[in-house]
Amino acid sequence: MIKKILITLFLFYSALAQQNQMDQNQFMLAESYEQQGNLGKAVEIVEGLNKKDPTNIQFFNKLNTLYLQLKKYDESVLLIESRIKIVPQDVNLYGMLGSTYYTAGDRNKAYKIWEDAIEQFKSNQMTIRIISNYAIEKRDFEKAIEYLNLGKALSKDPYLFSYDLAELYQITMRYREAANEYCNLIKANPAQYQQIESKILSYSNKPGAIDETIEVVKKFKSYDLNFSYLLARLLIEKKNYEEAFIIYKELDKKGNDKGSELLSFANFIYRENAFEVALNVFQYILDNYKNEEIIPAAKLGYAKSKEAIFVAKYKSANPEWKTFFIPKAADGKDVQPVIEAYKDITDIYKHSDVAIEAYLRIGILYEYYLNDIEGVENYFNIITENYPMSKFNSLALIELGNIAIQKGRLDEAEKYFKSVTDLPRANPDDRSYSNYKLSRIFSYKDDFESARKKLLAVMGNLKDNLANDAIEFSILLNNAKNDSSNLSLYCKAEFLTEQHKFEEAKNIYDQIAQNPQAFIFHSIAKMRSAEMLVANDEYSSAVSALTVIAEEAEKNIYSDKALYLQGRIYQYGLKIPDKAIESYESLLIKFPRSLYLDEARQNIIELKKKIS
Amino acid sequence: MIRCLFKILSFFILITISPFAQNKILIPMDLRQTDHLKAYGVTFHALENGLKADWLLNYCGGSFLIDQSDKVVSECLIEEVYFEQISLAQAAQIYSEVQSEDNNMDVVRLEKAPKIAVYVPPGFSPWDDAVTLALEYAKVKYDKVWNDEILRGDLEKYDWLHLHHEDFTGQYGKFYASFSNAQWYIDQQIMYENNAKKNGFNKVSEMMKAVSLTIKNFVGQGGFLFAMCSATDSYDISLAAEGVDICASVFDGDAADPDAQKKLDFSKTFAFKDFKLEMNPYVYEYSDIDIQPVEIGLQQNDYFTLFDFSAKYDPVPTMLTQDHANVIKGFMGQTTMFRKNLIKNSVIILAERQGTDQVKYLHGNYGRGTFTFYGGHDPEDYQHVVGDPPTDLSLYKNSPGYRLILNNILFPAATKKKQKT
Repeated sequence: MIKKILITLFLFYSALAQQNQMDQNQFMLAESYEQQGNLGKAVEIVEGLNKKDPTNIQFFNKLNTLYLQLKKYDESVLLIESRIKIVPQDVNLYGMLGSTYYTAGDRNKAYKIWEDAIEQFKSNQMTIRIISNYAIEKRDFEKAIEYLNLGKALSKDPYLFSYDLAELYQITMRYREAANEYCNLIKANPAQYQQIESKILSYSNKPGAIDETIEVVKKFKSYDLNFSYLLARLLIEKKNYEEAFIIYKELDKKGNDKGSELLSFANFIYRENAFEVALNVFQYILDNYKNEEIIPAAKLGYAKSKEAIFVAKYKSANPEWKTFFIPKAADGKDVQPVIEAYKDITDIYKHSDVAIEAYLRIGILYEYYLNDIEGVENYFNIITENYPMSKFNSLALIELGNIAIQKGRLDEAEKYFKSVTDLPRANPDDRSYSNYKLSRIFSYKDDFESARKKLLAVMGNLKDNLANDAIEFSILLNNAKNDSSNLSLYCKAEFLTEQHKFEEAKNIYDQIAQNPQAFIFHSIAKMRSAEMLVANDEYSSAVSALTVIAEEAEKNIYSDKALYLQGRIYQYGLKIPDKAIESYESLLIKFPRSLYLDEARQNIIELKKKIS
Repeated sequence: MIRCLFKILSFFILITISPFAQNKILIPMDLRQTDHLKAYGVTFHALENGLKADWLLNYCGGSFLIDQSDKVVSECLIEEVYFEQISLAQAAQIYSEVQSEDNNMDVVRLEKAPKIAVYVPPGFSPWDDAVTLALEYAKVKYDKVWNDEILRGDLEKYDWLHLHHEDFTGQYGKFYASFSNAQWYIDQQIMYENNAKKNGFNKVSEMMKAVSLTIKNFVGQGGFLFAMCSATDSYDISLAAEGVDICASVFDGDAADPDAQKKLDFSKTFAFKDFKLEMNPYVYEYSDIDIQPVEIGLQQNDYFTLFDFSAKYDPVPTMLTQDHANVIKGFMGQTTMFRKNLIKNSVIILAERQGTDQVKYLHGNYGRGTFTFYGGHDPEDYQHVVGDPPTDLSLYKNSPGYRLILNNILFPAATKKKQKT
């Protein structure tokens, strides 16, 4: 008997397995038809399979998909409804049914089915998520938001769907609501702060997002420190550094990071060129953390910010448009506080890196902004003598060399620049600059062969900013080999020019220009003479001299430059825009291949804009 | 007394002649020209300032002859456009040469600067569109219009409308497979959906069809349409698919009509016929109109040739093909070139790849207006992809490919002349 039962059971399951295999083959055939685009045939097969086994979810899903592809919405509705009769507790089916109505264009019916399902299964939190997903699938984001909010109310958990809602608010550009959801989440669970901050920052650059988000975060500020951090981040994104500073100050008081956050903030805004705010932040740190480790860096930042503010003001007051000029000595009242700030560092943090940098900055301030080269060497000497391994050593040597040239001590200058070229630690730019300067020094000393050799080192690297100057100077040295007396005279004038002795230099340039034998130097000397007049603010004479050069046309290789400089004098010196435009236009007409065309065009456009 | 009279007479003659001594500006467009693209801008601005300009078809690469004006001279100087100031006698000689029956040349009078509209979505950057790049570079004024403006009838304010790589089928450029998760794609889809809702459409594809029809009416009423890249085929597909759902559910939420291909009405299109739709949302192509990269082969062999038309008998195609080069290097786009056997017989082919069925540039009439389609995305960027940096046109001042675009903006300025054929 048992044997019989076992055989019967075996036969039954074998038949069933065989049947299943056959159905599966049929199903795969239907899928093949579907892939070929023969949807009608696919439907025919799957309808048969579904009829045979209405409980099979695979057949049901496929058939519904095919109906939707064929836009057979009525059939889809009937299919889903019949399935609901079999599994009435399956929320997904109500979602699908609503979705079919939605696709068919009957949105009201779709909403009703979805809302009825929510009502029917409201005790299950998943219902809301399932139904809202169907709404999202139909890209009805507003409806999805409505359902999620409803779910929130029903569950009495205000944070249940906050992530979903925030994402949807963000997609629909309702940034205020998105921020509100995210802030509520942080409030409920501060551990999620990092994750939420990155989510907010991922969309904060979209139009209007940052302002609306800031507005919301401000309202939450009193709840938790995280909101202050978030607010500060957003304010930095908005480049509202002043307000961010206020927040950082508050954070600094409440937190215990001893000013390190403030220091990072100050360094960041310094790099962003917001020097005024950076100065205030450094000042704040210095006032509040007198004995902390961050103080040396803060003091240096403070001094550098002060210097940057001063330099910006100073540069705008200088005639940077001129080829040569004597920089105006800055008002001591402006520079002294900066120097004092650096001295403060050198006094307190002796032998430190910040102190070495401070010595260099003090020297530079005296040398370039106060035009005071007497005694300034001391500052650079401190570095070269006491800290030869410092990264600032080569810069100090360069400045010592420049001062020696100013003072006419060429041998000493040569020694300094040579030290830089010999320094194994010197960076390539400093070495290149020193080689160029050495070449100039040799030329001032009439040692043209050594000058030429030094230029080779600079010209070897065409990416070097000085390569052009080196090539130009090298051409002059090479072409004037047979006219050494005029070359010597010319180099003497160049030396005087470098020392800002423009009047004396002009006399020599004029002397060369008037010498009919000085064929090669004729053009350049005339041009230099005019540039000396410009340097001495003798604009009318300069214009006349430049007109003469410009009229020489192809006889003078600087005639285009002369017209360009004439335009600059009218534009910036004499401030006669019409005349400036005239000069530039003349340059465009007479010298269509000039190097100065682009700048001339740009100047014309700017001047015309101003006039109009 | 006689000597005095003679002096006065001489003075009078001098002052009478001198203004005419240089009273035409010739802007040659052959290889002497330093900046071909800006030359169009100079001519356009001259028209805007009420000056008359003549387009000398096939003369020195399609040169321009403009009335003497200090403003034009100054602009040429500033913009680095090569020009010559010529006397009336020289101008007369040029006219006589151009109008001679022995030469395939002619003169077209340009009367008025056309009002230009470019169809672009909000937040668009000029570097994504070769035409706006060219217009910006040549400093030619244009307005941006999008669906709202078109649907409310603003096109009647313009003479010329440009469409670039927009998708008029409502399939978001068919970027679904590669970019459906990219933020820009998501943002773009939402923007279009919101725009459709705002304009009273349930689907973006329906709105795009309405936009296409409005543009068609604009052309029918005398407008000039210039389209590039995927705006060419997607526009015609949209016209053919009026009342047919060709979009897969990933684009509009419901399946495409399974019989969409059969339901296409090719009589409604401008340029193409008998094309087969590509309805797979994962394939980055709209139909078989576009030539595939594999058919193009190597970049170094990709050149197209401009047809030579009779200037006196076919002035319009002649204007559109004015160039200083006859063979131009090709460039790709979402739609690169058009398959010749799918182009309607009524359409004039302006440029093609010689020895192939690949058409680059075509032109046709519809109603009282005209349309011109130019395949490819950016004439100086062989394979422009999403996120690529903009082409700096100051490095391509003499681009023959870009010149073809700018021919189209001056062509609507031409006085209509009765055709000789």
